[in-house]
Amino acid sequence: MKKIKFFLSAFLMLFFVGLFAQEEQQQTEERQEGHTNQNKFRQLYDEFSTPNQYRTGAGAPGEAYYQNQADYKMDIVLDDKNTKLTGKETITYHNNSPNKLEYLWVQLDQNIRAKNSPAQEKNPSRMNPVTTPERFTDQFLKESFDGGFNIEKIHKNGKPLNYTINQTMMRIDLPEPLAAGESYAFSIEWWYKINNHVTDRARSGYEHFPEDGNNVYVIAQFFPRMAVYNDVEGWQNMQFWGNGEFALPFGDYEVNITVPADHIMEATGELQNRKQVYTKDMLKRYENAKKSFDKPVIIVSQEEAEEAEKGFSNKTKTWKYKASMVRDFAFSTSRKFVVDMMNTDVQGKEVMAISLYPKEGNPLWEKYSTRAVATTLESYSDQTFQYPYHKAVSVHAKNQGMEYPMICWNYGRPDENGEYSDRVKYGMISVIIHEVGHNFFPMIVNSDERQWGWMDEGLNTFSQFLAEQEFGRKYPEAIAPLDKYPSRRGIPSKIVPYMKGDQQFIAPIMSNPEQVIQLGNNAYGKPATALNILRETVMGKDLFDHAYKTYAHRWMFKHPTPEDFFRTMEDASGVDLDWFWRAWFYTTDNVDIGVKSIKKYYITDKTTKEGAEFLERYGAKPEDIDGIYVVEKGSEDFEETMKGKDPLENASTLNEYVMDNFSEEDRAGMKNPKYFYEITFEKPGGIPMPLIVEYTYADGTSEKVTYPVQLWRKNDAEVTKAIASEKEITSVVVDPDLETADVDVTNNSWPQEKSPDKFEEFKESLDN
Amino acid sequence: MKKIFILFGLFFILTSSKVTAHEYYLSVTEINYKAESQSLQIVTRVFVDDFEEVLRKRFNDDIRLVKDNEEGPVRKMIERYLGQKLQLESNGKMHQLKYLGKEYDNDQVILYIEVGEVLPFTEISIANSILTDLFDDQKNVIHVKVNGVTKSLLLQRDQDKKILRFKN
Repeated sequence: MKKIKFFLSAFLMLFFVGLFAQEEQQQTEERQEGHTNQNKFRQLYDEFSTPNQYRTGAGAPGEAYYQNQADYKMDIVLDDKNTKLTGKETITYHNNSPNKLEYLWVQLDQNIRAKNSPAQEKNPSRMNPVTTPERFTDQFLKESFDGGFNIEKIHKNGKPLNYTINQTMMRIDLPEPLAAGESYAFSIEWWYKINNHVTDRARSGYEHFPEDGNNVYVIAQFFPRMAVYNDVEGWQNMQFWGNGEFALPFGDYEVNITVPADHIMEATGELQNRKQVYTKDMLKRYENAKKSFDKPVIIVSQEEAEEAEKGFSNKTKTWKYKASMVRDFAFSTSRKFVVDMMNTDVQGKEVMAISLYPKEGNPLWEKYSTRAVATTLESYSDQTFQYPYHKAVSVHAKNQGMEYPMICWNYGRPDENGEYSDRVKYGMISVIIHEVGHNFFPMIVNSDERQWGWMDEGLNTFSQFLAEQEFGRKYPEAIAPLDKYPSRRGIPSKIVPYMKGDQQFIAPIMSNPEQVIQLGNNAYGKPATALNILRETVMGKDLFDHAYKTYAHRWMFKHPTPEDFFRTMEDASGVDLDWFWRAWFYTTDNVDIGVKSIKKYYITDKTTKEGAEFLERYGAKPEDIDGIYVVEKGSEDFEETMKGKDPLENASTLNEYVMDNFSEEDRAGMKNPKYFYEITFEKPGGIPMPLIVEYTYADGTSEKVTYPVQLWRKNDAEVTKAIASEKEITSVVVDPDLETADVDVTNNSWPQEKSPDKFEEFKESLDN
Repeated sequence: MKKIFILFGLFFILTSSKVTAHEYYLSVTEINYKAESQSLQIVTRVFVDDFEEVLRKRFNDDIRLVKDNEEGPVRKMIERYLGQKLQLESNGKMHQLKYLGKEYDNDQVILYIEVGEVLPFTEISIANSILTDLFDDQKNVIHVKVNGVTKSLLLQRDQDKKILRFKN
């Protein structure tokens, strides 16, 4: 016992003396300024809204959570010859809020294409030193497209209502305020000129095929739509400028769409009159498709579509749809469509996967589109909740991808000879997975896209990554000779060029889509990668998957905010993630962690010079204690004979202590380290991350150790770890599998590896 | 006039309401100054399809950029295109690029370029308009490393040239 006492008293003594020494030092310094809590692990109380009865601190909808609903009955007529759309709708708006509403806000998204729309002037422009006649004409001579809604009438049962149009938003003044719990039905009549979405690069419009004179319509934002009223924004009536997409309430839809009789259509909702609009052959094939779970069944063949292209019928046909609990409605129609369908078993529920494409999409589309739709429904349902709708449709559009409930437009077109490269193929499969995936975010988990692009794009791009990998596993022949689907986003190393880039071109993820410079990286790539890192490296798959699913279930058919997501991920996992959200979502910091230095030590009981000096400073003498001394390799007290020996051998006092205090059995269970190190890790990057280190030993084996991120909580710049090892360490590598998006890996290794110079390697390969 | 047509004939029509939300176009160029050999080592990554499309539209419709299965005068056209689209100037000298070759990496192609006889500089002017002739929203990121210091640039269609300054 005596020895233990000595040890303890020596420690205590050193501790107190240490404190005194520090105080003395501080008194001689000048008075320092105080500071607020800037610790990167402090909780996000300043950033987060305060929880309330609508949204709880757990991230779930609260007791008083409400959402308003908008039901639509519409009659739509497409004038194919004049590319014009005419519509009548009756909106029934249900005020489930506890507040009375003096007016209603209606969204007029088409007005972004009105001639005098401010959105057309939102970007700076320049006088280019040289330009082409075509470009000059477009920029300075041509009248711009005369689009936008022409509102003919707004009334309640024939009685006109007062309204005010402010760009893309319209306020309807109610004769009496709409009380809490009451509903209000009113009607709008309108028409607009449909734009060419290919030349305009728009989300909605037509593509014209001059060879056969036909149009393919992909029609959305085609009707005046209710804005969202909720506890967070009041009315979300932020204007539509083009980048910030949509905020829409749920509702039930009954829509009748009249088009030329020889058109084929798909739309949001259940088709009510299939027998009237399908031919007998189509009906028969449709019944076959219901039985086909392994390959798509052709409903309209390419031959039939090519024949239909020549028709130009003057007759019309009305397609009738009903949809419940959707936040929007879109449709696509043309003579040119080839159609195929395949039934899909989504967790025991039958869902029809459907593709529509003109012949220009083949031979690519018939191979992959419907299969990609089916895989998406399965993979996303596993990640979130069972897909609640009865179908999902993928429509071919030349150069855009855009999502709506149950239906989306996707690019991917072979060249004139029907040939396509891998990038066209993978681009097409990826965009289909992405846009079909949007059914989950934001069509069902209905976040506010106008304010937060990342809430649907980031989560969806993350889930897309998992679904793409699933597609690769399910259809190995489709990705051969690769063995993994080549996902463009989600893999940590792929976000590095963006995150290490010039700060003036980067915005935090928590920014409005209109204000960021690189929207693709900001709202898609970075949040998707952050979630991937969170799943694989920070939380682990089980904790992450449960929390992600909890978020999806809690906010299914509801309107979540960023805090609802952040809070649920913590609440359901028990992992404090405030540091992660702060670093990845609220700042533009990046990850850079490296090895700064490594020192080797040996153990001895011979008094060392450094040890004696240390004791002396605190008024003690070496003979007062049975000291164990630590000798740095190469220091004055270092002896070659210390190398490779057990510390019990080098320090007999340690051996005596162990023998006096532990039984033989205890001793047999003790660790037997022979090599001692002090390793300092540095963190030039702003983001704290778990410290992942791979140690390689002299015998060639290696071991990966992950130290918790909390290691950085008291020193954000560098940390030191004392390591006792049974084997000699020959190399130390931080983040060996590149899983943290470390922007500079030149400092990741000890001994410092000459980072492979790609350029020199390539040059050498040329010489050989 | 013919040349101007080639340069500008392919530009998409610019409109303010375009949808780019679902795709982005990006190239990344790393430029490393090697003091010992007084040279610039340049590695540029672009997407294969974008690059193939621009070469086909500008020069020769026969060009196919497919690993192990290339067609057309690929090397010559890449050399010519890079000469037009990537310009480096330091100490008042416009540098001559030497295109060494390329490698395929999944959906990207990696281009290797070298510039010799580059005296130490404190200022380098970089113009990179690769693919901005095809895509309005093409963004070209450039990282320049001199004496261990890396500085970055983002160039795009309406601003395709910038100057970087380094301390000696």
